[in-house]
This record gives sequence, C-alpha cells and structure tokens, in this order.
Amino acid sequence: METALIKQSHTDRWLEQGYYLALQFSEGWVCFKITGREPSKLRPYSLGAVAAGGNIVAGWNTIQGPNNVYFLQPRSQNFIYHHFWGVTPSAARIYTQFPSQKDIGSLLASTRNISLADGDVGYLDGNDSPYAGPFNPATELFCVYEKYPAFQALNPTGDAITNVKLVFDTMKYTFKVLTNQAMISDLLKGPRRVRKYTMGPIDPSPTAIPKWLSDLVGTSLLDYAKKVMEEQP
Amino acid sequence: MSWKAEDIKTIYASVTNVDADIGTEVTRNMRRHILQIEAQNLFAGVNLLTLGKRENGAGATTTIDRFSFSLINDYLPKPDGPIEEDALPLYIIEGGGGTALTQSFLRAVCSAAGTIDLIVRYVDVPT
Repeated sequence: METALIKQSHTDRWLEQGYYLALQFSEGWVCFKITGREPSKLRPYSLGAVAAGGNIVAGWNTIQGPNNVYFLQPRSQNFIYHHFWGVTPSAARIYTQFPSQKDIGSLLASTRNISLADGDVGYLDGNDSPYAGPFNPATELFCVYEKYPAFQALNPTGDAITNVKLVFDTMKYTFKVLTNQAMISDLLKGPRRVRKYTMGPIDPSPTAIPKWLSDLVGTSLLDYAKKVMEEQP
Repeated sequence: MSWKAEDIKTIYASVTNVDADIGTEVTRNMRRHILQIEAQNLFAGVNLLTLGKRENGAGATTTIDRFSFSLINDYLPKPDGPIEEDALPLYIIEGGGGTALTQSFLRAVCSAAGTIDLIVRYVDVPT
C-alpha cells in the first residue's frame, strides 16, 4: 500500500492564544488577536451516495445539522471557526465553495463543471486529504459568522460509492478585533508574525465583509488596512 | 497514487466460454489495480481460464494470464490468504483519456462449455 505524504500535520497550523490573524475581505483586511481556543470535531458527516461517474444529485451541501444549523459557521459573532477536512473513500473528489456560491480552486473564469468529463480542476480527494488525517493544508477554512462553505462530490470511478464521508477537525477561537493602526501596519507588512488568510476566491475578488463585522471594524480602518497592503515598498 | 483497505472493491463474475467484460468500466484517467483473484471451476472436466484486458476501445482482448483446472471444484486463490498491506497489483487496467466513456475493462473467458466462478478484488486509483 502506498500512502500520500503530507509533510506537515494540520494541527501545527492551529493558532495559539495570543497569535494574530488577518482576514482579507474585498473591502480590506481585518486583524484579530486570538484570546481563547477550544477544539472540536465533526465526524463523520455523510454526503451520501454518489453514482458511478456522477456527483451529488441534491447539489452543493452546506454541512447542516439539526434545525438547519450550519455546523461550520460560528454560532455567534463572538467566534471564529478554523476548519480542516478529510474524505473517504479515497477516490471521491471534493469541490469547495467558500463562501457558498464562490468556487475555490477554479482555474476557469466560469463556474466549474462537476462532471466526469470536466471535473479535473480544483478538487481534493481522499489521497490528497485522507479521512484518517493529517489533513491537507489546502483544506484550511476560517469561518466567521455568516460565512460558511459548501461542498460537492464527484465519483470518478466506474463503481457507485455508497457513502462519501467527510471529517472536519475544528478549532474554535474567541478574539479581539485590533484597531491600532500602527499595530495593523506592523502585522500586514511583516515585522510581526501573523496568519494571513484570504476569505473566498481571489478571482474576481475576495468575499464581501459581513455587515456586522464591517460595523465592528469601521470602514476607515478597512480602507487603511487595504492601503497598507497595496502600498508600494 | 495511494490506496487504503477501505478502497478495495470486490466483483463476482460467472465466466463462460464467451469472452466478456468483468466488472465495471475503468473510467477516464483512472487505473485499476487488480490485487487478488479467486477462481473455481464449475465444469466437470478440464477447463482453462483466460484473463485479458481491453483498454480504451472495443478492440481485441489482450491476454494477461491463464490458469488451467483439471477437475470440477478446483480452486485457485492468487495470492493465497489476505491481501498484504504493501501488495503490488497482479495486473493493471488503464482507463483511457479524453472521453467520459473509455471502454477499458478486465475481460475473462473459459475454454469449456461450463462456467468458472471468478472473484476479483481491486482498487481504482487516480493517475
């Protein structure tokens, strides 16, 4: 048996208390200081059966629990959720939208076609990110309130898959939004260690900031952070 | 490329003296690793099992192995026992590219008018 080699465990990418996180939205960057964390796990989450050469007939799955709750969305504005995922069986290809309706990993200008003939772009399968872990760093997702992903699966084999299952390893964070301009400049330009993460695809632009977070940060600070990043050296 | 125990699939086929597809199609850009076969002669006499493959088209079957049986109920496991964790495939069937249907299949035929029961364990891996 050959196994895929993932050189770094996804658990090395969890943020410690006191670490900084900068999230890029289309309006600018928002900087956070992590103040607390708590691990969690969703295993398994069943996407269900996928016919030979087919995809999930019901469409994109937003990973909902009882009462239509989105498992991967923070349950309130007070949390950031940090997810990684794996999939079984190995052949199942998983395509991600984050936030939903926004394709991650597309090489095409148009929306991806999740089919046997055209499904070779922008997926991770169970060889790339095995169910037993460690999970591929490319599965990393930072979710804030009102931003959650969606998943679709393709079965590239000639045999039906009875049950495509995902596992999500999650760290829940509490945070403080940073408002000090000098600190934000230091974080974004490099002197301080910070995890930078783009929310959604970069083409044509990252996703819009949720209104609650925009109200919390203020447009002037978003403009300032954007200017800091776009400044010529 | 990799495979795990949970990825192994099993097919059963009743092989006759008419050359036929065994199991499902190997889809585009996939590769079928045949890890183990079990065969049992159900014909009351000498019988010959011929395994073949037909890759990317409906052309002639290429023979990849042959097994002879002397008596009814002669049984052939290959390899004998459980599949080893680091087992190499016995045979590889390559799926074609470019189209959704590649017409790549494992094939089998037996020489006598009776049948041979065939069980194949395999895993499909991406290329």
